[in-house]
Parts: sequence; structure tokens; C-alpha cells
Amino acid sequence: MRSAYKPLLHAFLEEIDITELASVVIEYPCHEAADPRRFLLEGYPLEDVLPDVEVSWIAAQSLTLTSTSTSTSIHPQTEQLVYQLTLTDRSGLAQTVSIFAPNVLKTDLALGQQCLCPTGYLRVSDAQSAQPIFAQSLETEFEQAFALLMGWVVAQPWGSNEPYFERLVLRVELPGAEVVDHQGRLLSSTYEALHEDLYFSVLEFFHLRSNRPAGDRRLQPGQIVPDIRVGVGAVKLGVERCALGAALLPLQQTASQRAQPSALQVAPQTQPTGKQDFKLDACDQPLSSESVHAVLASFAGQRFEAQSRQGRAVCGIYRQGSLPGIVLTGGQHANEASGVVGALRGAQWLAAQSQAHFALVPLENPDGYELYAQYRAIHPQHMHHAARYTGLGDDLEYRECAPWYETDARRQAVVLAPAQLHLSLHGYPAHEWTRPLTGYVPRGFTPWSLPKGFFLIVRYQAAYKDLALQWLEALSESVSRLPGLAEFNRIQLQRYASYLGAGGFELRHGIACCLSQNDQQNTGVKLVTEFPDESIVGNDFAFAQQVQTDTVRLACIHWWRLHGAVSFSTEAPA
Amino acid sequence: MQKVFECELVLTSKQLLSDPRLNTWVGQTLELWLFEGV
Repeated sequence: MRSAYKPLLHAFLEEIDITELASVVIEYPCHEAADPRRFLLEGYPLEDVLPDVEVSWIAAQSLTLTSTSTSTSIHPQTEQLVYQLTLTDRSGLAQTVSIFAPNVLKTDLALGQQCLCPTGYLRVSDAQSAQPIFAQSLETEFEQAFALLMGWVVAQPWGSNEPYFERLVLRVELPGAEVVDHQGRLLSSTYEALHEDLYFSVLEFFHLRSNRPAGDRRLQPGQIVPDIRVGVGAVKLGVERCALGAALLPLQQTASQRAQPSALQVAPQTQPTGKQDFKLDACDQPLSSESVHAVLASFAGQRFEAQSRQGRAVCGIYRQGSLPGIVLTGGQHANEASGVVGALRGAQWLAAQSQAHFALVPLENPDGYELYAQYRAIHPQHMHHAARYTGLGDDLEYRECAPWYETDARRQAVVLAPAQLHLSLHGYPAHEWTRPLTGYVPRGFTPWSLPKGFFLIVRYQAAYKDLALQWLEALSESVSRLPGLAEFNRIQLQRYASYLGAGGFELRHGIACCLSQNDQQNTGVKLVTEFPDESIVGNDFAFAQQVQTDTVRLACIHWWRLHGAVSFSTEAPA
Repeated sequence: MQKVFECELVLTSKQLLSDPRLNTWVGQTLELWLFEGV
């Protein structure tokens, strides 16, 4: 039995003897119906599996595959998608090996696009001659589950008014596979891939239905919640629909008791909320929302609050000072948790500056954050994009009209601290993000499919262009000197370039930076920080939140300096 | 919370075990690519 998902990676994990391997040259297939890097990406991160082996990649000539469904006889074209390997051992002996990557062309139900997707496959060969006797692609339970749930979604009369539901839970319980590295970090997971493809496919379906352009973040379908569990035996599927305004039960409570625990378990996480015994600077996992509130309560200043769609408090603090004003936010996208800690710690540093003038909203999206906590209890290392947006299913930053719900907290922050700098702390996947059921490479998000280190996005109003450029140059130079960051970025950027090529960003002092004009934003300059933090724990998380924290401090220092201010400390807290 | 859809699927590997063609392939090499792990 072989893996249909990431077959090259699995071949090295399960079949190929790598004990004496010195180098491997891999000719990966290309197909005209897929991104040219598709099969290269599906080999990611081979270097983690072969740490002492020299790995080289070569693109094969592009193929045309016409088979659109399961075939019942040997179809020569279907077996042309192969990785051709030349393996050389330490004595210099070379051998060639072919690794088959079974794929079919499918028309996806969300957008009606043709996609080249991994699929199940059966091959029967003569035991003596090794000649194939029979070959057939098989639509596996993994593919059937996705197709059935998407078919159900597409067939419903959703009406014309958003939101269509308070929550739509798409449950699948099935066997699957996860790969971790020698330090226990997740490298790939079929469960996670199914979550991602279900969530984004349903979102794309509602997008298309609403006649909004692809990627428009204003869509408010309601909360789309894939719930993928590790199962054995028969695959169980279910859809639960929560009517508008209905009470929402935690996933753990509503899921059937039959589900097996995740292959990757972590101990139950507890965080002291008492002010005395809680060390925020040592925080090595996402904070509970109770801890966020406890830390926020320790700040002096004017409190303000909004209410989320699901009724949770979105809390902020405002403090007046004579320095140029700053708005600091975290948790806009709730599965990007290092920014929540970074916002709180950054604000603690701001609060220690006697004249700092700032407004803080450390957790802008508590509904998403609650879902993220529930997801993490099931699959602690998955990226959980379904927890990213709000209870309405939109991105709170793009909300354009009342009811404002959680967006109101940010609106209050900008009014209270008439700031021209907004620091918005974010994250993105720490390992490969895939959508194997709709073409493998995440549609519209190819540059985000692999980590590329900690990077900075700066958007500015036209009048702030020169200031933004000067400020970013100073900031990126300072950030590049943060302990450990240059090496962290160098490794990730090198890996990113070998799989995805040039990334459409510029490098400043080893930090990827994206700079663009946006005259619609409500501050002169906005910084979006991006740490690959979905979903890391332990020392990795501690490093992530430290970088976020230090970036807030450095961003403020350089902003104030450019405004001629001098009365503040440049030191990090001891 | 209203349950609006529910179904069960047989694993592809299980389905193959009851495939009558299996008898004709006895003694041959069978290779199977799946998503359910090995």
C-alpha cells in the first residue's frame, strides 16, 4: 500500500533505503492543467526527511492528461505522472527509480474549474515479468467524503440573504496519515488537508454565488466549521446547521464520542491567570482568552469594548501621552496566535514609556479564537484556517457597514488615539498548506503555501509614502538584528526559493517586505507583521511571540524618531 | 444544531477485499495508492 498524497515524500519515508544515500536528482512531472511547481511542491519538505543528502530538482516536460474519471483499463497516459529519481550512494553507485503519482482531472464543485488532483489507484502486475495486467484509478473514501459534502452544500437553496447560518459544521471521521519530523513538528496531514479544502471550497462556493470577486473578504456566509476526526473502519460524514441566533455548542461537546483522538496529542493546556504567577514573556503556547483578559486588566487607562457576533467582549485599553499615537492590534485572524501575545507584551513596553500614546486591542476576533482553541484541542499542530475569520465568516477589517460587532473595537481605538500608525500582528502557516482535492496548490494563495520567515507588509496612504519608506528601512534593519531571526529567515527563505522561486517580495536586510499604497485605510501607515506561527508550540512559539513583541518596540521607536521625538527608552525590558 | 445530512462510506481498501476480481489476481503483485496511511 502506498500514499496517494505526497507519494514522493512517503516513498523516501517508507520504501527507499536512505542509509547510504549521498545525493538524489529528482525529475518531477509537470502538467499543463496544473501549476508548473505542483509536483515539486508535493515533494516538500524532502530536505527534512533527507537531512544529509544532496537533493536536486529538475522539471520534466509538461504533459497533457485527458483522463477525467476513473478508468477501467490500463491507460498509458495516467501513468506518465512519475518522479524519476537518480539515487547515488556514498560509494558513487547510482540507480534509477520511478515513483508514480496517481492523479486525475476533476471538475470541482465550488467553481467548476478543472483540477489535477491526487487520487487512489490500483495496479496489478505479473509477478514474474512485472508487466502490468490491470490498472485503475480509484475514487477513495477521502475523495468521496469531500465530493459528497461539497455536493450537499452546492445543492442547498441558501436563499439570498447573508448570513445563511450561524454555523455550518461539516463532520468527517476517517483514517488518514500524518508525518512529523524528528522533533515532532507536523510536516503533512491528510486530516488537515481535508479541513483546508472543505473550508476554502465552501467559502469559494458562497463567493461565486454572491457575485463578489474571488478573494473578496466581505462575504458573510456564517461560520463554516469543518470538523475532521481520526477514525477507524467506516467513514462517517455529517452536516449540522445552526440557525441564525442559535446557541453554539463546543465542538468537543457536539462531536460523537466515537471519534478517536488525534494522532498528535498534547497535554491539556492550563495557563494561570493570576497576575503574580503568570509570566507572559515565557509564554510558549497560544494564550487562553481568559489569560488575555487577565493581562489586559492589569493595564492602566481608559477601557473600551465592543461585542462580537457571538456575544463575546472585544476589549481594548487607551492611554494618553504626548508621543505620536499608535494603534496596536492582535488576533484579527484568530488562528495567528503569536500576535496576541506580541500585542500584549508590546503594549506592556509602551505602558512603561511615560509619554506613549496608544490604544490596544489584543484579541480582535474572540469568536474565531474560541473556535481555534477548540480545534487545537483536537489537532494541536494544524493550521485551522476555518478559525481565521469571524462568527459571520468575514474578515473584520473589510466590514463596511453596521452591525459592526468586533470591528467596532478597532474603530474606537482609531478614534480614541488619533494615530497615524497601526501595528497589526499576524501569522501564517508554519508548514506546507495544501488543497489536494482542488488541485493541491491553494487557489489564490500560492505565495502563502510555504513559510518564508518572519516578514513585514507595509501599506501607506499616498501622503505617507516617503515616511513609510524611511520607516520600513530602519525597522527592517533593526528587526534583522533580533537574536536568532536572521538564521531563521535565511533557512526558510532558501527553502521557499527552491520550491516556489522568487516570491514577489523584496528582501530588506534578509526580511521579506511588501510595500503598497492604500488610500482607503484609516491610518497613514499600517504595518502587518507575519510570523509563520500556524500552529506551533513550545520554544517555536516562544520565539515567535518574542519576535512580534520586539517588532512592536522597534516599530514604535523608529516611528517616534522620524517624528522628532526623543523622550523614550529604546531598551527591551529585562 | 440541526443534523441535516449524514452518511457512511466503506473504506476503499475494504471494498477491494470483497472485489471478485481478487481471485483472478492471486499470485500477482498488487499495488494500491490510498489516503488512509500505511
